Amino acid sequence: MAYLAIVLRRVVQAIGLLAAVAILNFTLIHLAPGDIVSTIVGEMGGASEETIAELRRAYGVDRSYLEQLGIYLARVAGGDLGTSIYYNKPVFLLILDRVPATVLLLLAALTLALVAGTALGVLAARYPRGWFAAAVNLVSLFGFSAPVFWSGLMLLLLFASAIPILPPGGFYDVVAGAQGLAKALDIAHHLVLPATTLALIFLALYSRLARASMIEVLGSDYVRTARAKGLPERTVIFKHALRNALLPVVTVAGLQFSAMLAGAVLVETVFTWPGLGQLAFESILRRDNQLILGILLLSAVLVTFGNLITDVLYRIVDPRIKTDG
Amino acid sequence: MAEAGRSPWQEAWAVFRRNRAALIGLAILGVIGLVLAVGPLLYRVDPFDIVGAPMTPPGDPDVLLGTDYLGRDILAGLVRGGRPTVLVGICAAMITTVIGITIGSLSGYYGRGTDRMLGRVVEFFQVLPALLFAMVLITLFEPSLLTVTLAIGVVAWTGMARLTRAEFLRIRQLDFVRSARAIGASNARIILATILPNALPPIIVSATLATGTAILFEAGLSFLGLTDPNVMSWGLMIGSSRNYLREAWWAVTFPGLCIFLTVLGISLVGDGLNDAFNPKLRQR
Amino acid sequence: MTRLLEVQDLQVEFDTWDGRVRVIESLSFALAAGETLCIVGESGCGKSMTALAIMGLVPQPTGHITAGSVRLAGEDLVRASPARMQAVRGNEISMIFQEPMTSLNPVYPVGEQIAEAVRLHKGLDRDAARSRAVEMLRAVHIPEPERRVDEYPHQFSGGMRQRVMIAIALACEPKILIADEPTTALDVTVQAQIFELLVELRETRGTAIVFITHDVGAVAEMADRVIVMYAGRKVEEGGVEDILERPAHPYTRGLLACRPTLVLGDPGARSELAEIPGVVPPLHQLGAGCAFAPRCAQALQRCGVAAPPETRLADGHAAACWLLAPSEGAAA
Repeated sequence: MAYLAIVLRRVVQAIGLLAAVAILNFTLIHLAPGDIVSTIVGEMGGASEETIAELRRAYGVDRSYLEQLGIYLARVAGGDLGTSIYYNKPVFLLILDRVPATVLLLLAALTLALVAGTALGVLAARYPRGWFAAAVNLVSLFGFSAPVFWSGLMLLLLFASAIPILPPGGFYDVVAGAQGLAKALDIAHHLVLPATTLALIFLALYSRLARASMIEVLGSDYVRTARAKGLPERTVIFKHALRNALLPVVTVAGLQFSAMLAGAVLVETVFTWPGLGQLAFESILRRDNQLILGILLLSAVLVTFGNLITDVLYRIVDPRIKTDG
Repeated sequence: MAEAGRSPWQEAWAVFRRNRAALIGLAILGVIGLVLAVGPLLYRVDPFDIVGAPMTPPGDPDVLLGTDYLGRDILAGLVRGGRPTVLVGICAAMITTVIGITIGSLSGYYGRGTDRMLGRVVEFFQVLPALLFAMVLITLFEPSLLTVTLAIGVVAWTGMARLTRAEFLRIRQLDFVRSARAIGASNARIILATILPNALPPIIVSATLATGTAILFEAGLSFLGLTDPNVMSWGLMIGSSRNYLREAWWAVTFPGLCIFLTVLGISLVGDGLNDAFNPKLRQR
Repeated sequence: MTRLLEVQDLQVEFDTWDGRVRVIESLSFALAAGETLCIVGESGCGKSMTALAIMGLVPQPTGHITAGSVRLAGEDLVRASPARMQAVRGNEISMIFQEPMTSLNPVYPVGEQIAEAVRLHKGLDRDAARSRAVEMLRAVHIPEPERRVDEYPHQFSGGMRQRVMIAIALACEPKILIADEPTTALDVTVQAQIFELLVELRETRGTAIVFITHDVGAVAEMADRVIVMYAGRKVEEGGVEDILERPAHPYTRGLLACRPTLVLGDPGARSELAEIPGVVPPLHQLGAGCAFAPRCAQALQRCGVAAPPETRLADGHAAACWLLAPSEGAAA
């Protein structure tokens, strides 16, 4: 019961935050020089005073800032994110169309980074003096320091050009026109490079964190207790140490959704992956404000949702959190 | 072994000096700094000028590192393109540090309502998708080095704020802070003169690493073309040449390598500082 | 007297920044079934490391047992295989630690932490192991054991956690329990309860106890026999009366004098509280002579030159001090 209340409170907080995000974005776009009408007029190659006035009335930009904001918020609350002037389609549908690709990319990268990062970190903590720990350290330094778009391009050069075993970009092979399982495999094939590229940054972070926290946990009193019980080393590591060592990794992973989304924008651009990031980049260049606003808001929703999931996960891993709020 | 009569800073430097990785990082940064400082004076080719045949491979005596798809000198781009990247990175990191310290220290020192309110602000900026938001900011207000710097500074400070807050929460309850309060020091004095100096080590480490992050951020924005198109930068070079990756790999590889090495140097130095400030960790 | 555990010429060394340091030097002692042996000394004297060496838990990779043997019913544990040591730990020899607050794993219910040892060593199934856990919690006087078995360590107080640790340690009915300063981190009243519990469990189960402490009061409470350690070496060994009434080594006498005692017949007055001047020397700076010599008021010239041999004073009472050595030993 108390648990449900906590989740409910989090949801209410999240909605408040999202409203704030919506207001800020709207205000910024409102403050920026040039509005939707001047864009349209620009594309039309000029228009008469009356046409401009009519357009301003039609798009509601003749009203005061507060009125416009009120209308915008009311619309958003009702699920209407407006219409893209470039695509002339509802923003919501355009975004919905791109969400699966981005979520697929994020989930694949996150899973890869978490599993591989934790495994590398734990092994490096277990054998801190060997070549393996040094190699993990090198990989993590590379992941930290290489710009993600560049490592993506380098992987492309390597695995799509020099040793052409992976497709250079896109979501699936349109020409082949595979269906069902074949299509899923095709998508997976296309997913390998972008997901690996994106995972590389976070793999670096998680392996480091996992190593540091594993080293700490392995020196803890309760691991000594577990050993004193005569548990096999396997049980000591995987049952007693790992779960505790994962706590900081989970916490930090929860804070990384925003950074992951940022990485996704760049990775999608490199690999022409038809996700939200690519759409955002294009609509920023086209000054498609309604679409930008929609994407920003939806990204914030994704990040918030990710944080909520982390919160729940954390409570599962660490029983100490359950009792207090 | 700790020797008597040395300040914690000297102690930290003594540890840092023995850290091979950190010294390598420092050397990398030294070389890059030197090249960026005097390189443009010695190698006077304009990176926007077309100096040879398009896509000349590296090794040509006239254009040592080859040319891009337009025939522009890659080496000239490398020598000149580092300045904006590094400069924007440093300035943006300074902005994030100042904002982060301000918010974090107020939050950690005053606690209660202040902490809750500022906590919301931090949460807000965490939810905001940083890169997308910076992209929007930059396109709305003319892409220039200034807007890029400000945009990065404004979106990237939450980590620093959280760190500073945690440090303040920890130090606030130590005895010397209590005694400062007991002798009637003002809040401002306690924050700036009593707590902050003791919170500096992790803040310095974090600010160092933040510079690396800001450089990567700048490179990403430039790669997307969201920067001043009249200023050559490493990210911009990669962005403009990426469609010719197969034909002219060098035009993409070398600028990326420069970014990588710069950030690598910063990361190594940051790690070295971290170890130097936390000698306890070494003994493990 | 049958010897359950026999430690002979044990030597433990550590790799440090200042080179290899010997933390235990030629330590020998024996433990009989059902007996309580107290190991006393200041922190850093090697008493905890002795316990870890018996358990085969000397910290890796810096620590090494470089000489000697630890025989459990004749079997040398120092040379036993890792698998054999796992079967011994928690089953034949158990250990409880100084810090009950951090010695339990925060993410598992206490019942599971008791039950897993029973499942492992006794091959019980989940239900049986769980009932065993409840039974053990009851044995260490945790109220409402059926309910508390599913609670997490953070829901227990320090004293209760130490009771849980004792329950874990005794769940497999070991022959030996090693208690490494089990009450140091606890309030005085809780300390007394833990002593009481250990004494009770010793009586009912016949477990031999190695009780490690720096508290002479605890020695009087628990011990049958006592070993006094200083800087990694045994300086005196004897029955509890020998040590408390007739301490022979200057260090033992100093240790006893540090204890606040009530003067009989005058409840208001306390005896003068003495202290031993100086500190334990860093182990890597130990010279050839007696490690205690620099702090010893009665030190002779030869104390700084050669380590004193162990001198037998009475049946089961011995000390390593030149002052006690027979004169022909002095000439050697």
